[in-house]
Amino acid sequence: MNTKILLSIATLGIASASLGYGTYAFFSDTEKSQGNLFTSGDLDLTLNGLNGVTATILGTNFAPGDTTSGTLTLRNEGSIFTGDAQGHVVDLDLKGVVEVTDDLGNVADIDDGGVSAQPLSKYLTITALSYDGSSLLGSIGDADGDGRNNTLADLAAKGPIKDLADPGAAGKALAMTVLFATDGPNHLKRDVAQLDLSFFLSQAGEADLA
Amino acid sequence: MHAPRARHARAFASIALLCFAGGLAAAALPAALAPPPVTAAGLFGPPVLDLVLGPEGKVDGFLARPNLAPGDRASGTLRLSSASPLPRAAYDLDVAVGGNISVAYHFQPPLDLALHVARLSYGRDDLLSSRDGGRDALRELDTNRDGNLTLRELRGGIRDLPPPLAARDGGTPFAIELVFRPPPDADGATYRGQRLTITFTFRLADSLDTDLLPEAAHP
Repeated sequence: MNTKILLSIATLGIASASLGYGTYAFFSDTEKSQGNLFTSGDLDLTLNGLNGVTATILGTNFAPGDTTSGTLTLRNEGSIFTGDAQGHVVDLDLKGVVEVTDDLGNVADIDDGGVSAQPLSKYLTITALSYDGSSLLGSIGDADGDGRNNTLADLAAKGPIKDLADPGAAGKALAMTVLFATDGPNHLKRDVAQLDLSFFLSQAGEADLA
Repeated sequence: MHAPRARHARAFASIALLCFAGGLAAAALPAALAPPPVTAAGLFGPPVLDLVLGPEGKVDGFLARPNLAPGDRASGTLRLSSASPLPRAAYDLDVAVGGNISVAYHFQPPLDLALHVARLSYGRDDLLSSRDGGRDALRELDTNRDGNLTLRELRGGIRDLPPPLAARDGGTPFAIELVFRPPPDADGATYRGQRLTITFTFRLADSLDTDLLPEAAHP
């Protein structure tokens, strides 16, 4: 009889021990902060509404005294632009590279000195170069030191024209007029000069176009 | 003849007493370790475990920045407070960081890899440095050991911070600043058009309780 009572007490004790261990719960409180939103923006430069334009300024069958003109409309169609709500500042760099081919088919980059001492690019004079109505000619000059000012060869030798204004969504025009100098020598017949203009849109403070 | 039965009875009695005492001890242990109850206006009761985030109306979206460009920074501060003073040793605070990212192109690395934690503090403790004896979340969470803590790495969560001060004492500020710093080889398209929503979850609990698990930070 005593054994049964003791067994009952033991069972009760074990049960109470289990109960004591198992029913304990901790209080806690959890709070959240949500809706912390980050979106990444972008820069998107277009030329005449396209990503990449070729042959917008052509001078075919060009002879000394002839001129040709062209205009590119640059737009920043990205969400990051100068004067946006976040205070970003964007600028534009411009670089010209000229490739000359002579009538024998020899090709050389003007940076290498050209295929002759007097390549066609030295006789193609930029008589007007403006961005958003402001002339850029003052920044070209006689960059290659040949005594002739504002030629395509000078533009190539000059290197990038830096820190032009962000064209923005409304766009800005780059206009250029090129004259075949009247003192162009006879050996320039059937030569070809190709000007490639590169535009680099970036946040101000970013490394400029090399 | 009865001697073994008597020995058994004594043994059972001892076991029963031990179990009973054990049961009582198990039941009483949490109470013994729990902080002293808070009394107010003559009432006796458990401490009020009520975490409050502020400033009111500015808790959601306290840290946000649209139209991110490299170098942009975003900072924000939440004020955490407890409804009543809590003993520092008895309670702790866990912070979990989660987020949802939608990329614009499937090949893009997610934005949180390029968002670096420039500042992280809780009260007077700079959580990115143990110089002043505080926590060093940078050391704990910088999984790639590059010396920078990205938002992705911060998702590991911060555990066992002290409970915030009571509201009547001004609470404890939790401040964070992020800077968008893409790697040098990233081009203009690498991160553009992404959308990241960050959720901070704060859990105030008894220090004996299970921590807010890191898994909670990864929805």
